[in-house]
Amino acid sequence: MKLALQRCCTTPIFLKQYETSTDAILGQLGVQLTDEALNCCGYPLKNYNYKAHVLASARNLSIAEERKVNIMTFCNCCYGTLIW
Amino acid sequence: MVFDISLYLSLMIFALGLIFKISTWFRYNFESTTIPFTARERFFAAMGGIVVTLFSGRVLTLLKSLLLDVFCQRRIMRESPLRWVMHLCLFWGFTLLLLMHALEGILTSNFFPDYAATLNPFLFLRNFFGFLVFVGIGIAFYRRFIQKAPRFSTNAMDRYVLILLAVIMISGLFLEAAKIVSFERYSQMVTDYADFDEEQDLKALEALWVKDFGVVSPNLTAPFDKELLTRGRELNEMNCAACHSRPQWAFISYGAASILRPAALPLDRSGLVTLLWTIHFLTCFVGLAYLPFSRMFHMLASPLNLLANSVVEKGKSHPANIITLQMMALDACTHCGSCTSRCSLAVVFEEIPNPNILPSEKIASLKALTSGKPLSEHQMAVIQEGLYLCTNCYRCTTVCPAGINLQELWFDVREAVLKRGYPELLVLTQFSMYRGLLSTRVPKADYHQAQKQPMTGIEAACSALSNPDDPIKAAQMDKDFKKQMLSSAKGSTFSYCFTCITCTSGCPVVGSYENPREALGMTPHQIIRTIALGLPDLAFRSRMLWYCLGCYQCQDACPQGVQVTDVMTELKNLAVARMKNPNRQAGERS
Repeated sequence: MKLALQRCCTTPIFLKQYETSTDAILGQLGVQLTDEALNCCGYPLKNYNYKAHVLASARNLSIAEERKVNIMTFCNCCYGTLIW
Repeated sequence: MVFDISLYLSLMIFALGLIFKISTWFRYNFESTTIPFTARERFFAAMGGIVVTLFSGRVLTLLKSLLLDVFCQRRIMRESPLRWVMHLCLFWGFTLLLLMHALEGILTSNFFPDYAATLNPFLFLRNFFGFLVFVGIGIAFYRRFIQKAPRFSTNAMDRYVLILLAVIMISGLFLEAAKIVSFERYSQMVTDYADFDEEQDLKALEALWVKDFGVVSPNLTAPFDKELLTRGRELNEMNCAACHSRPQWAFISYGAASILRPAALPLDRSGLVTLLWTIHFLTCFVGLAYLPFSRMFHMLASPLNLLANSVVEKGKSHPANIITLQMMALDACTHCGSCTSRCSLAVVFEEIPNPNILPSEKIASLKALTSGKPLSEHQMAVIQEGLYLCTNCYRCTTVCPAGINLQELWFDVREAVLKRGYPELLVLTQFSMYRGLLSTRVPKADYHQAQKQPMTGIEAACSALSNPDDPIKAAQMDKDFKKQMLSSAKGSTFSYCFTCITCTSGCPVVGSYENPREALGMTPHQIIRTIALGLPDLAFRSRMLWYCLGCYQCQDACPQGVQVTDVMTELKNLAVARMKNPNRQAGERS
């Protein structure tokens, strides 16, 4: 299985263990991760500029669509934004 | 005469510019009120740091960084192989041209006693180095004007530098080409160096030079007879060969010479060689004088920054050196755009057209900020917004080919700018989560002050009904605001509210205060009511709206299906729009 991992902006910096454990477990499960150039999910913009918030995620979704992969994320906020 | 005057003039401007620019590394800082170190202290701290480093084991780290980062430029290699080829060509081509060709009188002729510019290997090498620079300029031109990566901006200075470089190189190339074909130069050399004066001998040498060396003669044309050439070859061996290799070795210039050949005689007589020489040295001197003031200054600042970064460490090094290094880093930026191409939030620029969102453009604003130039309130607000619209993902720092620690720069500048007292609404959004994580580094008073500022700003801008004793008049109802909320699928759910207070009862923010009304201004159900009443100011300035965590417990619990959290989100968007443009009605969107 192939997945695009939304690595989140802050989690890999401030909560490194999320990223390392995700990589380790998915590696064991044989899930292939494609390294797409995804940007911020837009979550922090939600309360500031709604359109920009949607735009950021829309770009990620369209990249995933183009490459025909699903997006997975280990961040609560990215997840909340993507399932919108 | 002109050469000497312009040389010394440009050297003087260069030296003064250099001193000025380097002095800014010690004089400038981000703070506007408190100056942590004087320029003198910072200068001596830097000198002390350098001496200590040079006499410690860290000198090996420094050497490793010099080899890999400066000479091999591995950071650019990681970024893009094409750019690496481009930059290596420019860096090595130009450096070697400078050392071997421009400084021939000082360096090359001292190291190689039989040096002559027209002798191999120098003749060939000069062309080879020039060729490298041409390849570099070609790739640079291709990237900027043909490939056109998104958000890769080319400013006026980028153009000047590219044009200046191109003029220097092309004038140099054609200067050599014009000298190859020049009959006047040939005659002059014969007068100066030939130790014979029989007419037949002169003719023989000229024939050889026309045939083998590319000189265009008004007297002779090919074909020549064999004996004449044999005699010419002998004379050449005796008189010229000590200083002249075959010009074919100057492979680019010889190619350019063949372009000049058809028009060589009239061009030569009209003084093309002198003209090109004048253009060549003048543009070189203009470049030299302009260097400290342009992005070309990164030639000095970037290697220094890479080297300093390899040994300076936050927390261990003298704090004064950290500030100095950050000021130097601003000059090390080459405006290459790597950071912007990877920025997590660059996409947002399409919706919020503030160039300060893009890291490569932020640097330019920071330069203005540190120089102490007076900035208007609007300019400050724009810079501050750009500084804050950042998810702190460190991608810019990871990719910067000049090794600038951009993320740390943003952290420090943000705090310094917030201290200037302009309210920043983004402090009230999720963008400020990092501030909590870094709160140990920020003085407590400053930390809380930055959070109070935007609240005070909102209270001032949305002040209707601030006296609880005033009666609410029907005319105060903002119908546009209500209409706006009703027109949105999620926002319109406010109308289902029957004030059961379930949302407020379940709210963890409300629950963490002893006296929520005093601490938060309004509780969630009251905020929903303000929409029904058409009183946006009451909602906008209530702290509840901004302290909301977005946990959705209220929305989950609402028996009426009011999308409480989403309604609050819309309210915050409207408040931001109002704050950005106070004249706008509450209901209007951007």
